[in-house]
Amino acid sequence: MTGNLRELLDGTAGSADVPPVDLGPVLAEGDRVVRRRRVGVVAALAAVVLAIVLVPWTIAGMDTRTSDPIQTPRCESPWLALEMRPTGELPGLTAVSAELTDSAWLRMRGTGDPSFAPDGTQVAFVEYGPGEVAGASTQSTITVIDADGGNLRTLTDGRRLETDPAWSPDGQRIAYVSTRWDDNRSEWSPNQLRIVDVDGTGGRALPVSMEETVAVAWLDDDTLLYEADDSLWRSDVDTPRGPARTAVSTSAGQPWRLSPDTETVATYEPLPQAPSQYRPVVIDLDTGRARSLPLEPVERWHPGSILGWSRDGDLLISREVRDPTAQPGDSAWMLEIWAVSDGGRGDARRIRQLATSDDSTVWPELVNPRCGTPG
Amino acid sequence: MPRDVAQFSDYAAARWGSLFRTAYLLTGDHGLAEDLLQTVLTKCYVAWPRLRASAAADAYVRKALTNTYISWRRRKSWGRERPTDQLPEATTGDDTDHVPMRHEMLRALAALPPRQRAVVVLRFYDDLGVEQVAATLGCSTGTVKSQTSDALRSLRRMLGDDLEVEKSATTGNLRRRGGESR
Repeated sequence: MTGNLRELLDGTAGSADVPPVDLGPVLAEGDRVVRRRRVGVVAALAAVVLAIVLVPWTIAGMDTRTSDPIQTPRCESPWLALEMRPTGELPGLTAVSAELTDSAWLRMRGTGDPSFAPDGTQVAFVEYGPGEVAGASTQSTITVIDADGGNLRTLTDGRRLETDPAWSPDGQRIAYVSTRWDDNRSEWSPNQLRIVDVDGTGGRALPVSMEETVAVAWLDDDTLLYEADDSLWRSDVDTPRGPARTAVSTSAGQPWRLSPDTETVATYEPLPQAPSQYRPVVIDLDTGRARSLPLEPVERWHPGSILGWSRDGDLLISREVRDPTAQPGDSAWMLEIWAVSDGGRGDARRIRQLATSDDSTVWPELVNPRCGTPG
Repeated sequence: MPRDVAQFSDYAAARWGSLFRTAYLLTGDHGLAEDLLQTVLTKCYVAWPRLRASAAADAYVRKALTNTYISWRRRKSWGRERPTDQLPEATTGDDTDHVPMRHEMLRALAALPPRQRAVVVLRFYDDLGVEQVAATLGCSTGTVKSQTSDALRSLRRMLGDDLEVEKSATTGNLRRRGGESR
């Protein structure tokens, strides 16, 4: 594309449909902040009240959950867990059987980021609290529940936004990303990388915190792999040794999944010749060398997702593609789930095709590592 | 110092369009741009008693805009915005030939990490110098230069090697619109 960057930016910004000036919410919110600042004693009291409110909220959440228990996943009927995000509502998790006929596993509003323990007996997930700013949650807890629906426990206090739980290989610790919304300054604190024991003790921030830390996985019981500042880094959990940058750049901003052998990550990268399109690749952590997968590039703005690696060694990928059968008024897109055998080296086969709708977001999250590839 | 609502409203109304366009380039989404702008103007309103007497309001708002964008962008909820092919319609001019390029521009911006995107918008849209961008983002001038270099390399990879950028832009001596030197 030929063009001058400055002119392109001018033209792009100029094409924006500027909404009419609406200062009502600004003044109302501003006055609210000012009032809160002026009454410091009330603010302190409010903090106490908030703490009091949070306890019943947690209890209420537990009550809700126990009334809607998780059903035990069945490996004889492999399934996918989907994060549903109806417009204007918090997401919830729904497991869908391979036949797409059974969706009764998990239906909890305000949950996300499911992560199975290595032995498949427990699930850690994020449960969102009442805080919200600009449509994004500001509070959540890291919560763990047995896969049979019992023994639910909350590992964090719910005052921060905590996401991306990841189990250590020995199943004893959970790493996650944590941040805090400062309501007075309308700013997020830098992300922290934290770990906590599965019994809720031993919670601490790791001294590897970087502002852009956004995702984490475990390389072994003592070593984390995390994304920060456009790269993947290794860091020991229990020793003060500093983090070491891997050969993998994440500047394309795409999600990544660590392979079971911990030697590669699967992600998307832009095509060199058609950079608005993205292709799935597997990248070696040590060399940074990328290997393409036998799948067509995707063209959407946030192109698909790497779901993860199945017990069978398949790499599972979701793709959004145009629906050739869509009628006027329908969504023009549908979601496909693909499996690439042999750790991404083998053939690609489409294993599921899901309809999507314009009023909800469907975000496939994982496949139970206890089970094989849905098929 | 009392809060002069009328004065703030006049200021915000006068800046609304230009700030929205900057927010739009940062977020690539009309709704998010409006959310971002309202959040930032709220901050500005709260700080107005110490801003209104000087020319500091513009710098404050710009800093709040980019830093709030970067902090929001880190939140995963942004990464999970539903992908969309519903690109905004051009509402100014009749140069429909340029629409695909603008789409490509938005896609390319969306692929940049948040700080690089902010650097590109501040330097090449808002026409700020390296020092001003560094002050806005709270980083060193060296970081701004390296982020600029990385961003331009990525943009050229995505938009083509023939993407034109003033040579002085990479060294901090930007040319203003209309050719005025800074």
